Amino acid sequence: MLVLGIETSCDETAAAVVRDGHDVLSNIVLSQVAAHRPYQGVVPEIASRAHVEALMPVLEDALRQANTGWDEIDLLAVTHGPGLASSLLIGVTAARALSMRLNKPLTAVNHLAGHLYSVCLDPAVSDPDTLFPLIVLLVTGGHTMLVRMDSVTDYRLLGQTLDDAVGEALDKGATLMGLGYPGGPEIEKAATGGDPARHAFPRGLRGDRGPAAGGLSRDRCFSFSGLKTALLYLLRDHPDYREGAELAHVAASYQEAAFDALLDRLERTVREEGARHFACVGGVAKNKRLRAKLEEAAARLGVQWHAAPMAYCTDNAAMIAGVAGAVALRGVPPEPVDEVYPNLPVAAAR
Amino acid sequence: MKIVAIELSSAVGDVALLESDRIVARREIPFLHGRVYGLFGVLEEVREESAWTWGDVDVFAAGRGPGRYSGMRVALTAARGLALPGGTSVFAVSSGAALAAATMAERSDVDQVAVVGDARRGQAWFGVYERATQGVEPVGDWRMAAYADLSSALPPGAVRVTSEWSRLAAHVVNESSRGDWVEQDRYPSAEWVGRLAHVARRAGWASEPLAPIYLHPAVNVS
Repeated sequence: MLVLGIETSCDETAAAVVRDGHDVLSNIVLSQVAAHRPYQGVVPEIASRAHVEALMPVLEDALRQANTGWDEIDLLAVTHGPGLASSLLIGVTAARALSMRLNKPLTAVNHLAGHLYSVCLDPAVSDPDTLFPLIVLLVTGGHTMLVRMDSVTDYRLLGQTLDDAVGEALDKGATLMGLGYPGGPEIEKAATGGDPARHAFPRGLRGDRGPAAGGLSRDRCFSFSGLKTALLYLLRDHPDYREGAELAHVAASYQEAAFDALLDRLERTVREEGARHFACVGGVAKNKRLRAKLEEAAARLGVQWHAAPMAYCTDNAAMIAGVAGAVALRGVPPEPVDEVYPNLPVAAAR
Repeated sequence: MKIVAIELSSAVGDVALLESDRIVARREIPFLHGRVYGLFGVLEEVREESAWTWGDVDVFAAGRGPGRYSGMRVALTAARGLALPGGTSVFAVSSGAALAAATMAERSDVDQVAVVGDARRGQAWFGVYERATQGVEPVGDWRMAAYADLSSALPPGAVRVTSEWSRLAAHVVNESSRGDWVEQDRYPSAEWVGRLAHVARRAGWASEPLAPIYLHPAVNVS
């Protein structure tokens, strides 16, 4: 089964062709980072304008790279949420037009379901069903959550951030440090040679076991607002920490605090859920320090861990086409594409 | 020449199927937030009504504004998406040109039309078109003017038409200029987007850029 996936939920215009939910024949991603960099964050109007301009050439490239004709596509899949409404609208409109013209089925995909599935696109994972139950740490610029996957169609939200996503905390931290955008890679670079224990930044909610919103346990949730505030005050009191070796220490300590918070909740959740596998997906999963810490955590827990391949960490359409194909092959009918859902929760996915 | 035209840049959107410049089917898009959701159902209805297949279509045409951002983007993206698999031609047409052409078609005494819209923040946008041998021709680029300066910025004698009469009248119409205005909301139509695309295609002209006409920058930093 050949699936053409379309992803325009934020600032990447992406299309991909994936066979049988696993073999990625093409994965075209046109990043808009340069356009958003002057604003230190994603500007929705810039993103939407860029999608209109870029999407058709990106689709053509995806077909060309896959050496596939339009008639060979069996299913179209498009992200319908969550994301920026004006960006989602472009992908959904294009997908519906293509589906109508080709008279091919179209299915809606939850962007978060795509990220969760991205670990299954690893060529080393020949059968995703061997991974389950799988605890997934999803870390992006817009989301930070822990999800239990029992199959590619069955998953449950266990914890999430109560304020900023970790990627957002890194972006904002980078801005405070005078670094560039996107913040995660900039902080990772600046942290080189720095001492991660030099500054004692807070690990939000650590040890907090009270109730949280949405019926989630607080000890599986995250908070990064205190971390940001601590950085703000540190740099206010020590403006010289924005330079040289001191900057490396600040960046390393800040990054370490953010990742310690992730690992603390992840490890507890893996133990409590009795899972034999955990995974990390999303753009922040590209960070080498985080990967090293995940490796250490897996060794401590005595379980296997999996990372989404680097190409499928940041937003991409291969994960959208992949999960759509995997779900379709399990006999689930297409999800109608009726609206865009900017706040679509992960629990709403199939 | 079979043409499918989509116009969504104002409060009243529609689609039209034309056989050269003759209307085969036309349907308004029910107004819903997002509007795209109504668009595809209506497109399928008019296609079935005409007994065309999508492969029969020679040109997909879309209004590119200026006007409502979501509408312009959806119209252009839908037209391009419908055209892409078959390599069918896509023509983008200024929605302002379509409104000006419709106005001139109704009034043979009118040779110049100013199309005006509300740019918000105390400003109006406008473009001027004049009658041409084939269709209409723009007189200069799209421009912006403060409400108070609009009357003097528009060429004397040009008929002034807007899809936002009910919003704009209180701000930009004075007693001396009232006679120049079409005193009701007038919307650009898919019919005239299709007709102008037909004129352009028949004459061998290139399409206008396949992008919306934005009169504001993406980011306003003050």
